[in-house]
Amino acid sequence: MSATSAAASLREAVTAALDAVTDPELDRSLVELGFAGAAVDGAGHVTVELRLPTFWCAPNFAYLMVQDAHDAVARVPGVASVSVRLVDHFAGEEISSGVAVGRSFDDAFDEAADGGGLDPLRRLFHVKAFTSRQEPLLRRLLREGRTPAEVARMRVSDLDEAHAGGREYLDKRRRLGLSVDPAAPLAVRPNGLPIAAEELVPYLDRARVIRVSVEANTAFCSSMLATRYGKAELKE
Amino acid sequence: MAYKHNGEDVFVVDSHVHFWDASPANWRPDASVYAEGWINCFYDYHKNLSPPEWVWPLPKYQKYTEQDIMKDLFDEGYVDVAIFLPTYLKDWYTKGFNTIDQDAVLVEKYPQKFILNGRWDARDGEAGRKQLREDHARWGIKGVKLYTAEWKGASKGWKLTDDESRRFLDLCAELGIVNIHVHKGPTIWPLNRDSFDVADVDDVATQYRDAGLRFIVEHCGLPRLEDFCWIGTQEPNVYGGLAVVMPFIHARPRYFAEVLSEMLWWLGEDRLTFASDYALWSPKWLVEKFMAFELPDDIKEQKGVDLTLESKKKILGLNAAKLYDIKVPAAQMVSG
Repeated sequence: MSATSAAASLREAVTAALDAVTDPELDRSLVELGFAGAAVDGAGHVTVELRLPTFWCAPNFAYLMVQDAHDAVARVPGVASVSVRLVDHFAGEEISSGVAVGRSFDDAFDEAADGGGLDPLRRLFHVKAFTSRQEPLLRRLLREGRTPAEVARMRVSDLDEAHAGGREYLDKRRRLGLSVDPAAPLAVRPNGLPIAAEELVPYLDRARVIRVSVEANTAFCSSMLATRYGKAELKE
Repeated sequence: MAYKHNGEDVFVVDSHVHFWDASPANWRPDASVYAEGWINCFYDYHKNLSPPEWVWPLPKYQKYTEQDIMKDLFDEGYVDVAIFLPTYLKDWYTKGFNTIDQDAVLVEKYPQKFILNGRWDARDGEAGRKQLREDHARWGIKGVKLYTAEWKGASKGWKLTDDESRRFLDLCAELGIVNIHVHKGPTIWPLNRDSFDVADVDDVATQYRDAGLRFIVEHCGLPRLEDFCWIGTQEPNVYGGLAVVMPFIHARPRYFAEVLSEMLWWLGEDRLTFASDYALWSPKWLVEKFMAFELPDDIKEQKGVDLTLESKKKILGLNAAKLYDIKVPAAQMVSG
């Protein structure tokens, strides 16, 4: 392979790695959202620039993104070094340099954090992403004519290709550490317990407002980024 | 000028307006990056969600005049009464961003048009409570705006459940300051938690319900609409302030419909209040678009809610009029 094509394929691999990193709150790819882009030099040094919809975006959410982008790119074979810069942000310097030297969030912001780390926050967003995918899927199963009792009896194996969003739901479910075994109940809560027939509709009402909230936030963040930097925004 | 629907006046209360000064002359030299960052962020919100003909040049947006606000709210904006919600930010702005003193100039001049609210900050302790007593004695305030994400020295925010905060809430109950407007910005402490958490509203809403306090959550808890809706459905003294939600009606009508219908479903039409957040946005186009707005059929059908003319009148003015004992001409009340 020539040096040029090696550089091109490294650039592709880096972009693919970055594309797999999500905004934790919106559960969308940083590349798709237009938040992140990477530059790779001939020696395999990667610089990632992260830019967010506002100067004030929550620093803990930003820390997760900078950290995840750093780790994802660092794992790509052939990458010699990674530097992730959070730009145009009130805490950009602290966050970028904190991640660069491998500090935990609590260490980087020791006075302001309560020592609990970012894992509970990450899990909270994973739960919301799971719920947002689950709600339209289960709602559709009801709309197709099944009773709540029938949906409550369904198994993972009852889901087929015809159920749009089924695979994404199972992906989010797997990420929460929940079973996706074919024999496992299809309708489960974020803690893995099955949803009883009589609880299904109230559960979905609460799930719906989570989905609406995530979708509205995504639309707003995307269009704010477009206003700030003049990029195209995501479609409704 | 009143908004007319089928020849009848519609009563409009704009329950969240500002008369701010974010001009460079008011930026604290040691904090100019934050003062500028704050108003630039507002300006991006303004540009992002306003119809293009309503976008101002930045210098006007940083500091507008008495003439601007009177024209935009009352002469052209259909507003009968506007409610000032002060936001101090004195760590960044030398004279403050939008203080009681700034607002009071207009309140004294146009007492029929404006209602002045106060503010407090849990971190100000006894001195803050003394100030609140003075503001109440001088202006007869019935409400306060609380901004829990305000920076103060090393502190980057506070919670309604802090002990000091409860002392202020006790004082509000004692003085009859019953309308507690809460703006949950991205509270930065503790930094590792969800910065927009509204759980503390739930706690104090329960505690102070019998004392008569009402908690108007500005921006309906966005971006934590779901948490806000669950709190609102459990706590009858929690209201949704529609500032920031309203302008979605133009730029993102589908999301406006989705978000509004959730609030109608969880809280109902009696606990939502219209607001422009002026000068973030201007009431004229918001009122016009809102009166012309209909929920899409699929949303009405799926969620079983509707936005009737009666709902619109309540949201635009009658609900806030009840909170603030504003006299509404009999002809402008809704039937029943």
